[in-house]
Amino acid sequence: MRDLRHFLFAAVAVTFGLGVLASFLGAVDRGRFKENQVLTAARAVAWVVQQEEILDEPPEDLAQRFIVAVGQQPATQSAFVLKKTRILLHSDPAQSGRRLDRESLADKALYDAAREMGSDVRKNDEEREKKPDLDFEPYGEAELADAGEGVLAVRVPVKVDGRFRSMAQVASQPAPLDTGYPLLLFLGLAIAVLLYAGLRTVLPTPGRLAVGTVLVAALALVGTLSTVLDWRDGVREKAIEREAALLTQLADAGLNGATPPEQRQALAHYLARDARGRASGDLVDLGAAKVGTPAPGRAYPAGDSVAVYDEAFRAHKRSGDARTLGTWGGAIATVGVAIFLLGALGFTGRATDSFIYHRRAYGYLSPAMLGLGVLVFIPVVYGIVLGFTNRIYNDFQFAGLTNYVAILSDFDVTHPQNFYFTLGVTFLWTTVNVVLHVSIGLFLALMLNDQMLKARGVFRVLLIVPWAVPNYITALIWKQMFHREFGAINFFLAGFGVEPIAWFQSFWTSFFTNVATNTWLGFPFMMVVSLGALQSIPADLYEAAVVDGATRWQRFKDITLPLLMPALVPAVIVGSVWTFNMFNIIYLVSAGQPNGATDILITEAFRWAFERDNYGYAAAYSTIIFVILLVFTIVTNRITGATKGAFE
Amino acid sequence: MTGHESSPFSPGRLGKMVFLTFATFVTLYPVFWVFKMAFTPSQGFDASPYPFPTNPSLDNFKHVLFELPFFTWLFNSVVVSAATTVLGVFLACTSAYALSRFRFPGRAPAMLSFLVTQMFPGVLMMIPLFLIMDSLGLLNQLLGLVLVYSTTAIPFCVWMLKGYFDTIPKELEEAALMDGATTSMIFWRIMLPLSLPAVAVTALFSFMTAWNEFILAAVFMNEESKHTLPVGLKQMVGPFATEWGNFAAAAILVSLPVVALFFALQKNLVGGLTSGGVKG
Repeated sequence: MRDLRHFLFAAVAVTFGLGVLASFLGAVDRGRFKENQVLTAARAVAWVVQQEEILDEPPEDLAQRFIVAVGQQPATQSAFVLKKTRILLHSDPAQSGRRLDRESLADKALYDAAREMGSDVRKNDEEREKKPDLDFEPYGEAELADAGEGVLAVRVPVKVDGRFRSMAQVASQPAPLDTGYPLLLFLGLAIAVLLYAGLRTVLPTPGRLAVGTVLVAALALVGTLSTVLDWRDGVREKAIEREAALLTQLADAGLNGATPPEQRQALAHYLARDARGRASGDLVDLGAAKVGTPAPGRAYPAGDSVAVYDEAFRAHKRSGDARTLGTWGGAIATVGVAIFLLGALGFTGRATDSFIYHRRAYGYLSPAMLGLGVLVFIPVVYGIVLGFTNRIYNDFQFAGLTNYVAILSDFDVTHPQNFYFTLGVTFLWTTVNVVLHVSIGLFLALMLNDQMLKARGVFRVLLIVPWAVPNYITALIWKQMFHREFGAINFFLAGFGVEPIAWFQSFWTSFFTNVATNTWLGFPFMMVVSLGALQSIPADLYEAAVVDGATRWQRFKDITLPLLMPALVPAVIVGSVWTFNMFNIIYLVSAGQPNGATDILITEAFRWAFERDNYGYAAAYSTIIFVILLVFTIVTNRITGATKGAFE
Repeated sequence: MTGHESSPFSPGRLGKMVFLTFATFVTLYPVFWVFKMAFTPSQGFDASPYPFPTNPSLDNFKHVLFELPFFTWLFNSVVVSAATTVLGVFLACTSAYALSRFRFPGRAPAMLSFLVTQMFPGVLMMIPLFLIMDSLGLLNQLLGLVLVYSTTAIPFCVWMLKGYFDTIPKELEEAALMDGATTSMIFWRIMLPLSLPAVAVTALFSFMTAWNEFILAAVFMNEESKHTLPVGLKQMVGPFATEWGNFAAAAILVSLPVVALFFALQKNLVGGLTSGGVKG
């Protein structure tokens, strides 16, 4: 019965967590689409302004007409262009092309923005002058600014004649804060539970039953709605449609006319980039109705141009993470609501009573649990889910077990990026380190555990210095000490006539540098733990052993070691987990050299995520690491009973 | 070990002294070396293993303090570490107290969850955490780092503190209850003062987490004005040996406070660790 309760608690907790997560994701997604729309519009303006300058015979009033069209888009609030530090064009047709009046109150805000833009253009100009290698783009990077009240302003500098002389700004319509309705659903759930709990203390039994039934019915209704509405997909689909419509309108407004046909593909890719400058891949061709073949079976709006999104890509997306997460979230929410339904009258009641009875304990526990929930458990669950996805362009799409299969079924152990090779290195790394830590630490502790020893305290304090030094500093210093030309170690060896060693060129020397650094760093912890345990061994045990004629070795083997174990075993377990995940040392000392061979699992996972940009793979990799550690801990716990006492 | 050998100057003890002196020298050698690099001006770079500077100068320190945004980094690190310590200790103490003194449904899963979080590879959490922080508007905010650091420090601290709380006799609380004390009075007036050594160690660990962490800080803080000391220091390390003097000087400045704290609290380490978290 207790187990069942835990299960129910866990189910409800997971449901809450996923719901909140789903609403976060939804909000992030919606924000991104809004951002992309404004970005696209701003880039389009920048493109047109540049084309107008470059083309020999630009269509009359092209930029002017275009910017008015942009300003009238549903998504945009205003658009204007700064040319040679003067505002010349903005989206109000009546005023387009007029110079701003500094004294006029109505122009004040726009005037200030223009001045800011002017200084940005100059600054950009100077910076690009200084760093010519940044000029790989016809435009500068877009700059996003929060203009307050939900308005997003995007500025794109425009380069003309090799200099940044103009800048386009497009501001979005203000958008209300959108938290997504799943968050509301789960907030509602929480409020309902609390309400029920409160009522339960005051109502008589029949009343409880009625209130409980009403609440549960309401919850069931909301829960069903949440699964029926495929909310996240719908939002996404609509956002893509909106962006396509926007692009079509922009193309009609003169974007196509301003663009030589051979540049249209480039334009499409330029426009369809996200804020970080990465191609989002949403958009395949702009103006395809004229120059290419549009996807069959689709009706296009009237007009000269059409923006074509890659149908295949959209299909991917639909079957990708959005649909999967949405469905999973929905399914788990349904299970959660079902559990809630089943248990609402009996279990919830009992849980509530228990909660009220133990309210002090939960009160003390809740701040930490809330923090852990949001910043540890949700990210971990999310990370594990991402292990089942692959990132295509900017999107995570469901990939099933592909990543796990790719990691675990590759048996080419001669390759340093192979999982089993890295696993072997990691086990070797952990074993060697822990053995060295424990033996050095224990040996020094035995030496120090002598009341009569002079300067005992001084030795002890000096020997824990390595523990106190921040470990990234230790790592960087040791890396320098192993430097081939300037490192102390090679100089020291030169004193014995040894040729300078290129420490990071071969596996074993490189591995040695890591071990040396981590040993220096890690033995004081074991020393302190052993010393503490040694001091708690009663001296009369040794006296009795001496009387019985035990040798020094026998005393160590039969008294010291057994009595050390209760403190040492947990320390070894904790130390093993720390060493297993000791990112800083490997990453900073050997940096995986040579050729990634000295990388351990955790640094390899990091490289997959941030250097090889394969986050799904990295997430699966990390999940495997987690499972290995979990199994290790469970097994060692079973054998040693290290945490047995702690649960009482 | 037997406690019976007569004088502090017996041959065995002298041997130990000699060995320990040697071990201490070997242990401290890298530290000497850093001091030497820090006090040697970069022009007169001297890489010989002799551990003391030949012509000491403060050039490197001047460079670090006045030509780099060192004080910005310092300010950020101090704010983040101090806030993390306060928040981390508060969170760890309250939950350890609940786990040590109350029996309630969900206690064992809660403790297990603290244990399991120790095993999560940080890489697994980094991008989700980034997205969550982004949606909460906490990127490039010192507050964001404080929240992340204090929650990552919690599990270890909770286990350590809970072990220590367990050793405090229940009779003290029962007596206080008889005298009419409330739970919160017991917590603030009895438990916390009695477990100061363990609380001190908890504070030290929370502080060190925040003071020493660089990957999350580098990922979450894009703006240069929000960089913490570890991020700044990592930037100073280039491929050329000439920059190492400055790095060594900065390393000393950064390590001093945490080493000092460590030594101030080191007496508590033995008690705090062995009676608490490590025992399980």
